[in-house]
Amino acid sequence: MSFTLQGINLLGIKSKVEADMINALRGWYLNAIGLDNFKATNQSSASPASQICITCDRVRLWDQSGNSSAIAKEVDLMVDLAVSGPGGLDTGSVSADTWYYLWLLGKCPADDGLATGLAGLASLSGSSPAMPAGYFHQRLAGVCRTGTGGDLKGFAQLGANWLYSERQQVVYLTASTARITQSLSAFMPPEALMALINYRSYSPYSTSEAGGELFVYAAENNIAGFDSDKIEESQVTVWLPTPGQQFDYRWTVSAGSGNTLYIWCDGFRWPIHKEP
Amino acid sequence: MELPSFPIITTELEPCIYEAMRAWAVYSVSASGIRARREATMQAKRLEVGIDAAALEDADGKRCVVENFAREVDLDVVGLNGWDGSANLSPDIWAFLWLIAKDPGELKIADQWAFLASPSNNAPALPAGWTHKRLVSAARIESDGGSNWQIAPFRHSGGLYEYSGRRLVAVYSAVRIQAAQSLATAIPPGIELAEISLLSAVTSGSLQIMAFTTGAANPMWSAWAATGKRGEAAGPVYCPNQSIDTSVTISGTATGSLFVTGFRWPENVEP
Repeated sequence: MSFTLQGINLLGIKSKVEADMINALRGWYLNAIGLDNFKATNQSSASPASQICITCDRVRLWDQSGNSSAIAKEVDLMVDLAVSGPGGLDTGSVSADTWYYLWLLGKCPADDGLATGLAGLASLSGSSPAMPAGYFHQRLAGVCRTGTGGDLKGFAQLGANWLYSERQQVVYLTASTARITQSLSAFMPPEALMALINYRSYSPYSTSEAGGELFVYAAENNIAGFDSDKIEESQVTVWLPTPGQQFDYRWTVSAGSGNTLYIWCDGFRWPIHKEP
Repeated sequence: MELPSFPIITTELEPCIYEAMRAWAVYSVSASGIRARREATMQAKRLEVGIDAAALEDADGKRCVVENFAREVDLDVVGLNGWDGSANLSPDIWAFLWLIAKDPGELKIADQWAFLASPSNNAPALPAGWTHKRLVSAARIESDGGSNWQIAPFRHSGGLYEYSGRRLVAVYSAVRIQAAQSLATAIPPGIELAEISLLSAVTSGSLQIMAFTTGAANPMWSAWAATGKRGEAAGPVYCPNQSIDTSVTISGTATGSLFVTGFRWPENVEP
């Protein structure tokens, strides 16, 4: 029996006990690997409209049964939404205003815990991508979003931190509203745990005044509240828990004209170390 | 998660199994429990650093592990748990904090280890006989307000690095078309996510300051104020190459300021 990992060639194994022990050790080693120092961005590629550059130090991939895993190191690859198959989309062609999940794929023909032939894959599915022929090991790593026309929205995902390249306008108001619920489904995927929200109340004139509150969806108490009085803006940025990809807010104009409420989404937290 | 089980061992194991056990134990570790700090109440040239467990590597890629180590590092002293002496310490440089060890041989569990501060983030001047290293943190060296230097107060815990007071990067008092703004005085090389804040302070007229991811058409953050008022905004921004873009629109007498409050330190990095 021979098993090589991290330079240790186990040619000397003779007995089943020793083979079982090696398998146990390998399991412990693999258990320690997640998705380490992961980065995905379309900000540094040659074609940011469709290409995503992905790097990570170490990754553990699983077969679709969840029973077998394999690792890869020093991953550096690209996913192009204009391409089909490994390194591109799993099926179909790119659509506008759509979340695409970013998967890392690998092969492990020797069942020795080492992934080879690593590739990226974009899929509409966050649970079961259409696996290209020959690939059996996979891991959900991140996500990206297309805009109107199908081009990628600018983003950078650094581990669990997923940031847009520019703030995304969720709400724009010039008139009061009682507490209402606002969806964030176009700004964060359902798997995201919380959104980075910026709430800005703007009162540009000496006669203008407004104020409001921001709530976690259905929560009794607000998570932020503020006023903008007379040639003033008031803004707050929070990591907001977003059950159901939504939040609540209210905003009241109390005097004057020109008052404006902006709510932007700047990014979200991605469950980076979630195992299948 | 796989839960491996051990068979009952009744025979003497092959040496290669012991070798594998040590190797895999070492390679299963990255770094955990990294923390560092210099409080404003601490001595100006000393900081505290600690790790729970960390894998270190030598120039050939051979590894060893250090566990549960924390101590004070004095940058005013050249040597172990001090400065590496490869350059003079002075304001406006980075001091990178390395965990170093001597080669423990095949046991792979370090038996001699220390911290070492260096101006280099990739090749510290290791003392003779010290072969293994890992970068664990960084500290900004600044003027103490007089003729000496001090460590800019900060706290670093895992992936989060926060200054004790926001660090001024730029002040604008004139119109500025969107252009690159370096953050290199406040974030070390290799850091790509900065926590920034913007301040618009207006005596008369108005001022809006915006911060952009490099080359983006629309801002991530903006702060506006008019006569007699101040406006502020704060949040994270992607900053490859230690740089973002900023712009300023202004009428009258006002200043716009850009600060860095902290940054994200990469976690689970291979040594």
